[in-house]
Amino acid sequence: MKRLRLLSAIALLSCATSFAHAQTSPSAALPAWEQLSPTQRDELIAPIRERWNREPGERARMLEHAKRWKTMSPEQRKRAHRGMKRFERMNPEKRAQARAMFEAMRNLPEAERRALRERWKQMTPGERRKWIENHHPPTM
Amino acid sequence: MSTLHSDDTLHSHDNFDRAMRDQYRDALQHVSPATRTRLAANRHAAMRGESMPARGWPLGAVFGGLAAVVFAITLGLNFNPGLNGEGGARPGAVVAVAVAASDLPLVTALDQDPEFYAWLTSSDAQLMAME
Repeated sequence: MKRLRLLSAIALLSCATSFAHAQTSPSAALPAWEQLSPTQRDELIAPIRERWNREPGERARMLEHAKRWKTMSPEQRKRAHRGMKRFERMNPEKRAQARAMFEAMRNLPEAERRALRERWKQMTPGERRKWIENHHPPTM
Repeated sequence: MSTLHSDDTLHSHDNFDRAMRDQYRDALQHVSPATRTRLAANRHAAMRGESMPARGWPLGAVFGGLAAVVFAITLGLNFNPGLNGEGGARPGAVVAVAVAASDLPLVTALDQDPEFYAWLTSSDAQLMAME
């Protein structure tokens, strides 16, 4: 009898714990953005606000980039996310190369782009560095 | 057979990844807002290829911040049930966690032209990676 009572108590405790967990599990507890409290919204956008206030010179660029994200298709966004991760793993030299290459290629007709690709393949590391220096892009 | 094995491996990697992310978020809670702001500023400057001027931070403060992170991660690795495959975030910590974690990708997304990020997955960009 004693054992039965003990088992019941354990079962009850276990149910209570599961219930409490279900009540407070992250996905169940948090509603859609529209239903978040002003404080929660404020906390979520804190990093952006912090950056916005800290660097006034960056505001126009940030806004421009935010608008571009918005106009991208889901597939483009997916690619951009992948590229973002790739960018984070690049060293400063590679980043500079990538920016220069992107700026140089973005408005080139396909034939010229192909030609640049071929030229790039033939270049020595020194020539590539020089090319990057000569094509240093403005800050994006 | 091999599929089953790779599924298991994948699952265990997922658990480990999730647990590590939890630890990272917990660790961030131990770093002061001022330190986080400073680290974020340095990171953004590095993303743009700029170098940050030294502001004469006391070395102790830097090591103190890092020590807090390492300490929290170590504690978490030892005691977090997530590493045993249970996973899952602790209830109640969600909003605070979101703020600390989004310090990174949310702001990074606005650092560069998203078209540039997308271009980085193109064959033209791969060309550079093959050097």
